[in-house]
Formats: sequence, C-alpha cells, structure tokens
Amino acid sequence: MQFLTPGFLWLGLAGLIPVLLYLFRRRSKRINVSTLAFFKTLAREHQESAWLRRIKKWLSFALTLLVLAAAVIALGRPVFRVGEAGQFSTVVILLDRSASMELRDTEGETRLAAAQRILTERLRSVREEVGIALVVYDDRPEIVMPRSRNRRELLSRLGEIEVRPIAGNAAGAMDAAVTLAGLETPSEIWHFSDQLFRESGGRTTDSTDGEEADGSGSESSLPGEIRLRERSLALEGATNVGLTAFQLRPVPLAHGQYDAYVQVSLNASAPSPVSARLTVHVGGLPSQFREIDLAPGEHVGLTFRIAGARDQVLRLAIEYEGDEFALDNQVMMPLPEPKSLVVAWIRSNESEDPYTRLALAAMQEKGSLDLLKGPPEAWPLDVPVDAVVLDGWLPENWPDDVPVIAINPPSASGPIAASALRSSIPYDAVRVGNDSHPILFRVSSGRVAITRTTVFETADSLEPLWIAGSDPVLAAGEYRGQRVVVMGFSPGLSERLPLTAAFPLLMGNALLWCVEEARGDSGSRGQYSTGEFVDVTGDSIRWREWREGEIRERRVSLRSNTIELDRIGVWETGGGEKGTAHLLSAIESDIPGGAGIPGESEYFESSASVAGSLRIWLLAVLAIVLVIESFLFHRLAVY
Amino acid sequence: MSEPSHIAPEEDLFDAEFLERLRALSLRLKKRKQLRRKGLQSTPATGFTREFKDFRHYTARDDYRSIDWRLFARLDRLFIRLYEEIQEFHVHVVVDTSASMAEPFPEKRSVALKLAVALAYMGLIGQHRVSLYSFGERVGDPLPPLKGQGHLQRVLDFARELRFGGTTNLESCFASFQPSRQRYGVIFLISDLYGRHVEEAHEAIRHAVTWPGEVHFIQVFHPREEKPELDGEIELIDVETAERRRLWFTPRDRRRYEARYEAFLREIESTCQSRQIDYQRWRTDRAFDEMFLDLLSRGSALASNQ
Repeated sequence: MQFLTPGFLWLGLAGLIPVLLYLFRRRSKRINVSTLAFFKTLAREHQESAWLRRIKKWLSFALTLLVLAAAVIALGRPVFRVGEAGQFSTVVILLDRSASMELRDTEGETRLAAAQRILTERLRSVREEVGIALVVYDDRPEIVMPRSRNRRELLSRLGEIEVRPIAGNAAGAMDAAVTLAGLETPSEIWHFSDQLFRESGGRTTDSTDGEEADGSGSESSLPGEIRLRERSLALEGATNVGLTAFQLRPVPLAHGQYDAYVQVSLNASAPSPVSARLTVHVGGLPSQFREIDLAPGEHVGLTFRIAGARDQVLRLAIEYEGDEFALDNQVMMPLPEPKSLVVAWIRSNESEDPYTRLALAAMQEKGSLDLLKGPPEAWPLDVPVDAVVLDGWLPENWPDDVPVIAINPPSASGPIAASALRSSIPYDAVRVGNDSHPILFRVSSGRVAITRTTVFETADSLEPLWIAGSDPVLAAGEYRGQRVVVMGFSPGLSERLPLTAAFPLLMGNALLWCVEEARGDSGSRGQYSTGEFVDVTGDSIRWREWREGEIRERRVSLRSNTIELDRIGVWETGGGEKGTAHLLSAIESDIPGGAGIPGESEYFESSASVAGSLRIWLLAVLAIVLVIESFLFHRLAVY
Repeated sequence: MSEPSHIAPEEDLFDAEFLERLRALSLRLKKRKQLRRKGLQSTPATGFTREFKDFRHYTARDDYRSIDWRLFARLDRLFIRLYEEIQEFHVHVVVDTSASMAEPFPEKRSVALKLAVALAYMGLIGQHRVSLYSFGERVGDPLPPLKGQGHLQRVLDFARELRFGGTTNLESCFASFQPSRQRYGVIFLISDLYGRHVEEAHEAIRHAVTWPGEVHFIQVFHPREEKPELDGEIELIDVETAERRRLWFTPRDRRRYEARYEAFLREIESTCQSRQIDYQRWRTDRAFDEMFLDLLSRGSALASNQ
C-alpha cells in the first residue's frame, strides 16, 4: 500500500490530542446533594453500573482514535498498486488533440473525452509529490502546463482541451515531451492518441509521421530514466470516407472555367468496402454528383470541370451513411477571381513570330492577358510585369525577379546556355520528358512536329519536357526560385504543325505556370491547411463554415496580425485577405482501428479500478463509526 | 452515608448575642395588643378548680357530689356545677436531624437549631412546658418537658448535643410521634421534608392531623436546593443514602429541576392547607428575625399566650 499524499500523515500526530485529553480528562464533578429524589425525575438520568460506564468511556476513546486514524489515512489517499513500479518523479502527459480525436464511440464520447476521462482517473492514483506536465499537440506541440504538482489546475486545464480540426504531428511533440521528462528523472511519458496501435509483428506504428518504430525500440531511443507509456484510443471497426486532397485551377484561356481535382479515401481499417457519393455545389446549388466505390485503404482521384463566377463558393461533400468522422467530409472554396496577366513580349520587330503573336493575341482577346510589346532596346522594363517572353533575344544581365519564357534563345544568359543554329532542323516527333507537367496539360505532345532553331543546355533544375533527337527543345523548371521555360524551336518554322493548334495552349500553360507561384493565381491561391499561420490585416476575420446542413458565418476579433487557421471553412479578414482552410490530411482521415498496445491499457485503467483505492473504504468506515458513535451517544445516551 | 455531625465548638449558635436577640424579639411580641395573656389558661375541658364555669343537666355517669341541690330545690330538676379545668400549655419543638439537614448545606442545620432554641425560649419565658424532639429514621428521645427560664441552659445543651446524620423516614416518624393528650399545645416541626421519594412528605403529613395541638410545619431549604448551580457531567451523591447518580446536567435539565422543586413546595403547602396545618417556607438566606416574627405573627398560639 502506498500513500498518494503522505504529507497528510503528519496529521496523525493530532491523535495525541484525544490521548492527552483522555489522560488528563476532567473527571466528573462529585457533588453532594440533600436528596436525589428530584434528579431521579429527570428524563436523562442513568442507572449504569460502573463497569458499563468504564467500557463506554473506553469505547468512546477508541472510537475517537479510530475516526481520527481513518480520516488521516483517507487524507493520505492510500492505494494498492498492482504491477506498477510507480517510482517516478515526473509524468509528462502527451495528448493528441488532432482532428481524428473527434471520433465518437457508440456512447457519443470523443476520443479526446475518453483520454481526459482515463487520465483524470489515473491521476488520482499518482502520488502528490510527482510533478506532472501536460503537452498537447496537433500540427505542433503546445505545453499547456509545465511540470507542476498542482493537481487541481492540471485537471482544470486538462478538461479545457478541445479537439482542433488540424492534422497531428506526434514526432515534434514527442521531442518536447522527452525534453520535459528529462528535466527531472526518473520520469514517464504518457502518450494518449488514437494513432497508436500494435501490429501483429509486435511493432508500434506511429502513423502520424508514417514511420514505424518498434515498441520497445521507441523506448530504447529514450534516455534510460524515461519510460514511454502509450495508450491507444482507436476504435475497432470505424469507417471513414473523407476528402484527402483537393486542387482547383482556372482552365487556361477559358473564362469562368475551373478544373478541380479531388481525392477521396476510405480508411484502411474499415471493415468493408463502401459506396460513397460526392456532391459538388457551386453557389449553393448542386451541380454534379459522383458515385464512388472504395475499398478499405483505397484512394480515388477525380477530376472534373466546374463553371462558375468569381466569389461563388464551391463546396464538395462526400456522403456515406456509415461515416463516423465528419471533419473531412467537406471542402469549401470561393472560386478565384480570374485576373489578367501582364506579360512583356521582347522581340525584334523583324523577327516577330506570327504564331507566338497569335497565341498571345488569343489570350489578350479573352481578357486574360495584357500584352506589352517592345524591342530589346526597351530592356530593362520600367513597368512591373507578371512574366516576360524573351523571343530570339536574351539580356546580358539575367532578370532574376520575373518569370521568363525564352523562345529561341540565341546566346547564354542566366540558367540558359544556348546557341542559335545556322540552319534549322525539323523533327517529326518529340519525346515527352514529363507528361504530367502542367505546361503540357491537354497538349497533344504525341502528334507534334517541330523545327529546332536553337541548341541549349540548362541548369539541372530545369526539366526537359520535349526532347528532339538527343537534346531538349522544351524545358521548364525553377532557377533560384524563378520559373523559367525555354523553347528551342520556332513555331513559325514548324510548318506541319499540329503545333499550330497546340502552341497557344502550350503558351498559355507556360504563362500560367510561370506566374502561378509569383502571383498566386492558381486555384491553390488562398488555400491553406488548418493549423497554418497566416499574416493578415484588419481587426476581425469572418468565417464561413459548413454546420448542420448550411453555411454559417461567424466573425472573430483579431488579436494580432498573425493568426492560426484553426477552423475548416472560408475566411476573409477586414483587411481584405481571404482564403480557405481545409483538413485534407490522409493521416487524419485514415482512422485507425487496430487493437491497443498490450499491457498499456491495463496500466492506465487498472490503476483506477483494480488498484483499489482505500479511500472509499476508509470513508465508509468513518461513516459507520460516526453512526455507531451517534447511536451510542444519542440513542443510548452514553456519557 | 456520612458520619453524624453536631455543632462544633467554634460555631456556637447560641452565644450571648443570639440570646439578647431572642429577648428583644420577646419584647417586640409583648408590645402587640393581642399578646397580653400569659401563664395558665383554661382549656375546653372541665376540671376541679374552684372557678365556676357553667351548669348542665345531670346524667347517670356524673359525680353526684357536684349536683347543685339549691337549684334542685328551686327547679325540681338535677343540675351539676361545672368548674374550669386549668392545664399547663405545652410547646413541642420537633427538629429533623437527618443528614440532609446538615449536608451539603450546614446553613439548614444552623437555622433549624436556632429556630428550635428560639421557640423553646419563647415557651420558657411564657411559663409553658417545652419539649424538644429530634427525628430522622425514627423519633429520638425527647428532652423532658421543661418550665421556666431557668431551664434555658438545658435546652441549649440539648440542641448542642443533637447529632445530624442518617436517613429520613417521614412516614414512620410522623406516624409514631404522638404526644399524650395531656400535653396539648403547639407543635413546631422543623424539617426539609425530603423523604425517600418526592411524594413521601405529603403522604406523611396526614399523620400530623392526629397530633394533639396546633401544628406548624417549617420547611427549611437552601437557595441552591431550589436553584442548583450545576452544569455538565456530574456525579451526584445522596448524603443520606450515599447513592450515586451520574448525569449530564444541561440548562434544560436545570429548568426542569427548578420547576419540579417548586411543584414539590406547592404540593406540601397545599396539603398542609387542606389539613389546617400552618406551613412556612424558610429559605436559609432570609433574615432570621424577620422570618421568626413572621412565624409567630401568623396566629400562633404561642404568640397569643405571651
């Protein structure tokens, strides 16, 4: 038996008080009276023999000591410890509050609430002198309470923790916990998460960071005086269908058209395949439906085109009747405002390529491009542009502050080492280096014939997209953070061209790809993951969230210019910044359903129940003794 | 049971000052108009003195020598002459000498003895025959009837020698106390009237009706017997029986005790009134002179014979 609060045992010295009072008790006053006749008529007179009175006095004294002893022992909080060393001086509670902890069991209790309940019970059987720290984590750890012995405050703070719709990252949190645990050893780390389970091979998988670690191995990586205890809160057989990826981008050269990509996943521990329904809403009206069959652990990607006006809210919802986790079922995003690009086309008037002019003019006519034309003498530009097209000319000083599309570069500059051919070389076909590159989106590369006019070499970071012969004729990539596209062919000389039709598309893709990073003009502009920090202005932020079947607005005051996105929905600040925050986490959506770690569950639950706190029994003894004493002294009137 | 006690030499109750006060009290009584007669007095009975009292018809059992022959000659009917019978007036003073009269409040014993001596003194100076008795478990040997002031010393000696102790048996004592008819007079009973139980006193009083003479009950009690100053856990010891009782005495108990004691006094008074017995409460903290004059002023025959 151990005492959780042994400091109270010093109160046992108070037992000396009744002993002294008993030893030096005031004897009953003996008083001679003329007659007892009148006293005998009083109701509370007693005719007890001396021995009975003596026994009652001893009994009273013993009851007093018993009550005192029971009270002191109860205050000392005795417990029987079963199978626990219990000789640690620090406990660091590492508690997962990521989105998946919102999962509810059949009784409606969330995983976080279950962890709070188990911890509250378990903490009752921790000795008072043990310091306890509380670390919670989602994307990043937060030390809610440093090492302290103040149980009341700890429990209060523990109870205030709420699930946040943010993906979890246990690795960083574990580092913080180990640091805290190492401050005063021996210590234990109690890790509570739904992402912990032991596979049949006896390994503990921390699926948060996707790394597997042996259960004992994770402990062995810890300092010797720190012990890791992990409590899995996963539910058996949970089913979750969720959206795990999403991207939206304007269709090049198509006004009001957007291409959306969405990935739908079913968690690996789902007991059976499911058939879910994806609904697309634009501006509050349903526009598309898709039925998706998913096997456990399967991810399905879908692409579809959406038509809508700017600022209309696009909402994608995945629906499945048996879905148990709702935070990943919705994606909302306002359709981005198409903004016209400002592009400078530097070329000599004599060598202006008609196809290039045609492609740029087509975009200009659709209102998606403001084209500035000028000769090389106009360089450097005195107006800001989104991208520059250097056609048949390269400046000596490479422009490093603007994306560049170099067509037929005649010389070397920056990342490009080029040399113009005296005579052009036609090629009937090109090999594609990377078919999935955005520049080649919807470009029919297999039917293209080109005429090479320049031979170039590029820096390693530029990726060959088309290769004619052994050399690239189209390359794209980033050079020191700057997007660069190099074309070593002349569209005007490529007479047999299906390129005639493909080149405007290629040019448009190249321009959009070049500027999407710098301008944020792609569909991902303003798209954030929950838990990210964003710099904002203004004094408030307006959130639009999907709740209970409708979009609800909520305005929150801003306390600083940097906010953490801790909600799922569309936001807009008073300063004009706007964006959308999504969970979109394959880890969080992959709700685990494995068995808990053997032994660890008992460690946390037996301490509360089987450990057998004596407190209840002592309080019962106390109550019984008081009842007996009350009966003797009031009912039987023992004095 | 405590040892019998008597008056210690240092607490001489009957010093010269007390006797002076008795004489002063006697003079104060003499000044009262109705208190002029003294010495012998006629009684309802007829006797053989030479003082003619009345005539009455002769009956067969009368002494024929008392027939008035002159009236027979005149009226032709037999009459006898009646003469007044002169008897001596007796004063009986009965003192309770049980332990409760001396402990735990010796003031009760002092008052009882002073009162007994004062009554005896009044009787002696009034030329009455004075007898002193004591009673407790039983009625003790009395002081033989005394007459004349010269016997005051014997009265005092008797009082000094009285032993206070033992139990009280009111029923038995009152039943057995029967002075002869020849000693008709005034009977003063000085006691706290505490019996073996609360009701014993007024049950015993019925025997006093048969006592020959005018009966006065003087109940002596201490103020703390009326209002005990007790509190908390106490062990009470009966000074007569040595019986012990342990109890927790609360203010509520005190109020109930006082009510019970007052009821006891009222019951005694009521019983005495119903049996035409004079009754007086004598609380020991009251002034002796006042109480004594009040006692004799209540129409006592002793006072009227001064």
